Amino acid sequence: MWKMSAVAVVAFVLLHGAALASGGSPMPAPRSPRMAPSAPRLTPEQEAAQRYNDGLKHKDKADALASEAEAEASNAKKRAKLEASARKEYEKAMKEFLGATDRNPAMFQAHGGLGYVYRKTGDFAAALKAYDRALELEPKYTPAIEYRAEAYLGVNRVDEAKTAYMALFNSDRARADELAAAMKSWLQRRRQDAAGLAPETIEDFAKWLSQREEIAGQTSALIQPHGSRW
Amino acid sequence: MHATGGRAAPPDTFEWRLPPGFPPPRVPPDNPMTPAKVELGRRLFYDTRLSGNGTQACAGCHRQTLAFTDGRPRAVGSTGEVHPRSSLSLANVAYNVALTWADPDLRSLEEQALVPMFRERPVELGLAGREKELVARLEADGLYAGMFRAAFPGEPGAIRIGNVTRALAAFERTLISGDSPYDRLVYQGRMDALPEAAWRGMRLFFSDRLACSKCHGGINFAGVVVFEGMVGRVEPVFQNTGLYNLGGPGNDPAEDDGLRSVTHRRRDTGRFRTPTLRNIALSAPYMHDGSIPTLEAVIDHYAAGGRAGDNNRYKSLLIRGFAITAAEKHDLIEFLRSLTDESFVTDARFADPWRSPGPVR
Ligand code: HEC
Ligand code: HEC
Repeated sequence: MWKMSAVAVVAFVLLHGAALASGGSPMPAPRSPRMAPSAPRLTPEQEAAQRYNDGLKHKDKADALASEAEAEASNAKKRAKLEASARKEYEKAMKEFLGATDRNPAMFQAHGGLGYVYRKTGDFAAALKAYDRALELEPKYTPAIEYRAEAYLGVNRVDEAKTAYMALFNSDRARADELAAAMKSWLQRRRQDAAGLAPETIEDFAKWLSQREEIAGQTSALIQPHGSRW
Repeated sequence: MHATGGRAAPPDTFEWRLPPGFPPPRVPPDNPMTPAKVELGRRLFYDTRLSGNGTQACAGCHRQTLAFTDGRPRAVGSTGEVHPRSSLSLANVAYNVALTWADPDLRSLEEQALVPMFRERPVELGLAGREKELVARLEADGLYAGMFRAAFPGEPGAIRIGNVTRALAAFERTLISGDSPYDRLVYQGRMDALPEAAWRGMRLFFSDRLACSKCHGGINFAGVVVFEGMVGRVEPVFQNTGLYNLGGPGNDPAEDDGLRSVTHRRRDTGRFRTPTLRNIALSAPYMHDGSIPTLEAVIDHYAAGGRAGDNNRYKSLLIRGFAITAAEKHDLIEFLRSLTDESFVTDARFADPWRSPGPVR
C-alpha cells in the first residue's frame, strides 16, 4: 500500500468501516418518519419507510438464524429447525418489503431488500428482477450491484458477475472486496458441485478472481462510496 | 460512474469525461470549469505571445507528444536561459497536492501559471514588467475579445492577467490521462491488456523488495492526490532518492538542494516531490535535473541504493538498494511502458488549436 498522511488514513478507515458496517444489509434505514403525537396519518412514503424498516428487522433476524444453522454442522435436526425459522423470518421480511414497494413503488431500497430475501430463499429469478428494478430506479445503488452479482452467480451468469465487480471496484471498493469474498466461496461450492458449469469455465473464473485480487491488493481505493447515503 | 451519463448537459456545463475509476478533480470555487474557459486556456497555452519576445509558449516546454514534458534534461527559457530543473509532465496535474519539484506551498494551478510567466531567475516566458504589453497584445486579437467574453461573461475588462491564469488552469485540469494498458487492465477490467512481461514487472514494482510503490503509489504513481469529495487533508511528501552526495555527506549541487531551499531545514536537503510515472517512457531524460538518461539507468540508480552509495544521511530509508536480474529489469521496464497512454498524447482536445481545428463542441 502506498503512503498516506495520518489524517487521510484515518479518514479512509472510518469510511471503509462505515461502508462495511452496512455490508450485510441492503441499506441502513431511511429516516424514520418522526411522528408528532397529533399527527395521525402517515404519507404513503412514510408508511413505506416504516414497513421497510420492519422488513429489515426480520431480515436481520433471519440472517442471524441462517448463520446459526450453518454453524450447526453436527446436529442435523437442530440445523433443520433453525433453517425453518430463518425461512419464516425471510418470508416476514418479504411481506414487509412488498408492502413498502406497494406504498412507494419508487423506493429502490425496498426493491433491493426484496432481491435479498428472494435470493436467500433460493428464488434467483425473482431476486434478479427485484435488483434490476432497484438499479433502474437508482443506478448508483451499490448494495444492489453487489447482491445482484451474487444472484448472477447463483444462476451461473459469470460474466455479468464480473462486470458488476468492475463497477464496484471503481465506485465502492469495500463492496467490491465483499463481492470478491462471496465469489471465492461460490467458487469453492462450484468446485464441489459444478451445477452444470463446464470445468474450464470454473477454472477460468478462478484465474480471473486471483488476478483481480492481486490487483486489488496493489491499488488502494480512491473514490469513496456514494454511500453515506446508503 | 461519475460521468453525467446520457443526460444532455446545458452548453455552459463542462463534462469531464473521466476514465473509469478516476475521481473528479477539485476545482477552486472562484474558477469553475466551463467549455469556453477551457477552450480559451488551450489557446493561451499554445500562444507564443505569452512570452516577452514572442518565441515561446507554455507548450514550448510542455509538449503533448511527450506527455507535456520537453525532452530536455533541463528546460530552456524564451531567452535561452537554462532552467536548473527538468520540465514536469502535466498529465493528471489536477490531482497534485503541491506543484513543481519541491514547493510545499504552491498548491493552485492558477498561482503556478504566474511562475513561468513572470519569473526572472531563470527567465522562462520573460513577461516580468510587461503585464500591460501582454494584455494589449491579447486585446489586439479579435478572437480573444470574443473568447474572454465567453469565458468570463458579464465581466468588463475580462482580458487581464488573473483571467489568463484562470483559463490556463482550467485547461490544465482537463489534461487527464487514464487510458494506458495498465488502466485498461486495472480500471476497465480488460484482463489481456498487459503482456506477460509487464504483469511480472508490475509484481516487482509493487513488491517489498523494490518498494517502488511505497513512494510511486496511488492512481498517479506519485503518492497522495487530492480530488473532489475526498475526506481529510493531505500533505505533499518529498523524498531524497540519493541522487547526490557532493562535498560532504548528502550534499546536493548548491544551485538546487530541493525542499531545503524553501524550508531552510538541513534535513530537507535534496528532497524532491515524487513525480508521476504515467507516460514515463515518453518523458526521458529523468529526475529533477534530467541527469539520468534512460529508464534502465533509473533502475540501476535505485538498485545501487542511490548514486552516492550508503554514505548519505539525507537519503530516504526506502532507497536501500536491491539485487535485480537482467530479465527482471526488462520486465520492470515493460511495466513502466504499460503506463503510456497513447490516446492522451494524441487527443485532439489537448492539441495546438492554432494548427489544428478545434474539437466540435
Ligand atoms: C522554459 C520552459 C517552461 C515554460 C515556458 C513553461 N514551463 Fe511549466 N514547467 C517547467 C519546469 C522546468 C517545471 C518544473 C519547475 C520546478 O520544479 O521548479 C515546470 C512545472 C510546471 C507545472 C507543475 C507541474 C507539476 O506536476 O507540479 C505546471 C502546472 C506548469 N509547469 C505549467 C506551465 C504553464 C501553464 C506554462 C505557461 C504559462 C508553463 N508551464 C511554461 C518549464 C516550463
Ligand atoms: C523514497 C521514495 C521513492 C522510491 C522508493 C522510488 N522512487 Fe522513483 N522517484 C522518487 C522521487 C522523489 C523522484 C524524483 C527524484 C529527483 O528528481 O531528485 C523519483 C523519480 C523517479 C523517476 C523519474 C521520473 C521523472 O519524471 O523524471 C522514475 C522513472 C522512477 N522514480 C522510478 C522508480 C522505480 C522504478 C522505483 C522502484 C525501483 C522507484 N522509482 C522507487 C521517489 C521514489
